[in-house]
Amino acid sequence: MRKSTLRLPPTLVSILALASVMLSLGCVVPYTPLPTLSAELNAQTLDQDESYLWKKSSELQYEIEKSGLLFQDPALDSYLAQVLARVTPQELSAAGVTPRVAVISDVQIHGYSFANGVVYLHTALLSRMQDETQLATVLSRELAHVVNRHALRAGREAKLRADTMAWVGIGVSVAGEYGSSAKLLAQAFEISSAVGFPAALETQADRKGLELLDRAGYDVRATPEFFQMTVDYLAEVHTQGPWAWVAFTPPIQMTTRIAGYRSVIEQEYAATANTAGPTKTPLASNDRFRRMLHSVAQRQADLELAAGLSYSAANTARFATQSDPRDPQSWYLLGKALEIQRANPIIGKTAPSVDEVREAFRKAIQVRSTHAYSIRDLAMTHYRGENGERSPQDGKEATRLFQQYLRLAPNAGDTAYVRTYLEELKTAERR
Amino acid sequence: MTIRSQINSARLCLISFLLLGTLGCVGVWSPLYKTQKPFEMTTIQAAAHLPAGWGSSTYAPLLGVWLFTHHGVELNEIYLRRFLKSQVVKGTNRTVRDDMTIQEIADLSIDSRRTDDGVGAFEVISNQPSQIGGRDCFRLDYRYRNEIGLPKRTVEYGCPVGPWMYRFEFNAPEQHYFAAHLPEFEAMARTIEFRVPGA
Repeated sequence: MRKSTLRLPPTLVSILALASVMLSLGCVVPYTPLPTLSAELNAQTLDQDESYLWKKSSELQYEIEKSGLLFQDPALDSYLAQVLARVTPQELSAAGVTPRVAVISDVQIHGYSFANGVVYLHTALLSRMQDETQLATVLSRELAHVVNRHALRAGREAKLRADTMAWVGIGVSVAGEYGSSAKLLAQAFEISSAVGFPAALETQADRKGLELLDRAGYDVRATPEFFQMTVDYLAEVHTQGPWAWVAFTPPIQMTTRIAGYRSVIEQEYAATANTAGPTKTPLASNDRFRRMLHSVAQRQADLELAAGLSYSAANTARFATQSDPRDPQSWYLLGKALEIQRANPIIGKTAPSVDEVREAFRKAIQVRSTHAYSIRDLAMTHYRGENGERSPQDGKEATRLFQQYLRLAPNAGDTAYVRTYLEELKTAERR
Repeated sequence: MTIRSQINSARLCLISFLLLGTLGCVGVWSPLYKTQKPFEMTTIQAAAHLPAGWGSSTYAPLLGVWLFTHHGVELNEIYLRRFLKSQVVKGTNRTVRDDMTIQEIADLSIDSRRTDDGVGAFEVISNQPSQIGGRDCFRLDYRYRNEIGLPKRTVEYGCPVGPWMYRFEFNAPEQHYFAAHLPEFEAMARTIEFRVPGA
């Protein structure tokens, strides 16, 4: 067989080569850092475009926060504020910037900061954190963007970008396929998903973030593992989506960041790396930290359930069962996640047995015998039976549990549905 | 290319030109009048007495959706649509299965809505079994804030019919417009008939 070859005229090849070189070089901007915020360069002496950026940031924050997306837990908010204060550099305070952190209910793993020092962390990111150092890692990195005025810098460099926000890109957007309040965060997401910050700014934030973390007395050695955790989460989500059959490729910016952190730690924190642990005690022990995030984990598990990420939901719910085993809601969420896994099996993953599903609901009932939703959902597992067949025993058990549910929650919103199930069970029993 | 396929292509071109020529002059909204018989919405295989005095989107039915409004879609809108059960329900990573109860389908719809773009502070007011055109359906009533923070409220009926999942929605700002126009939607919903053969 004759091999077909494509021969291009040498002139065309030269033009193409030149064009590609120009295209790639055209994107490279020599990096010269802006002066950082300080007592001299402060909130009162901002340039006109920077003032405008801050104003736009405030407006966007107002929009987001009044839209009902904020996750509010006063105890958690207070703790987050304390950790933020601990990593806040002197120069920011001197510049008259008071950083603030808030939690957004969103199924996507993200964290980002605005030019005016406001940091948003998504429930997805918080719910997977294991200790305070991981939290401090994100916060210090965000503050590094703020103090270095990266949003302004990126805005000036990219005229086409409607910049209002500094983007850190903890993860990669999974919006679209899975539920997310993307539109409400549209301006923020546009910036992030379109371009992000130039690599040089990200590298600068990495270094400055580590410096702030170290200065606050946290153990810098733990940082690469934190970013690896976000990659692992993305891989976990990937295996539950429509593209699961395609091998997961970690986002290049994340792998680069992890490698960069390792290298900086090795070069600049060698002394720290050789000594054990943090130089200051964290505000919360690891156990207390997880308990602080208990409500966030529950919210995230609920969001993951809504988004059909049942394996992630089960993992997140398990975290919540560990942080407070006496909270029936976490066991209930775990039961729901296992139930969805069973009903919507994913090729290559083992679906749980009906006994595992029931076990989770029973644990919730064990913890609180009046946990009505667990009783109802346990009843549903009997109502359905196994493999589409409902045995008489299952019918009786379903009837008993549904009746118990109606006694416990006579005014619940779904009593009309439950009564139809009871009617059907009654009819089936008569036959 | 055979002569037959050439004729088919020519026909397609002609139809496209005719459609463009005629629809290009048609208004975006057509007024709805009271009719003796239910109006046949052939693109979704359903019929209903549509709300008189409202406007019907001229172009939406071409996309398989019927859209009505009285004062503009921001203030009141009725959506009638259907999708295949095998289609992933937006934002949920799941489909409607034949073994699902009506309550489970309603919960799936809630999941889709609460994770939807531009939906914040989502709250279910009621979730009840219902009947439309003699079929078992669900009726959801929920409120939320849209992307500009405006409180809105929706009543949604969902009916599995054969391979299809029908969804009928009334959506309006919670203040004034919802209560003012809900009865017109409910009156229309009561007259819906399904025309899906064999289902």
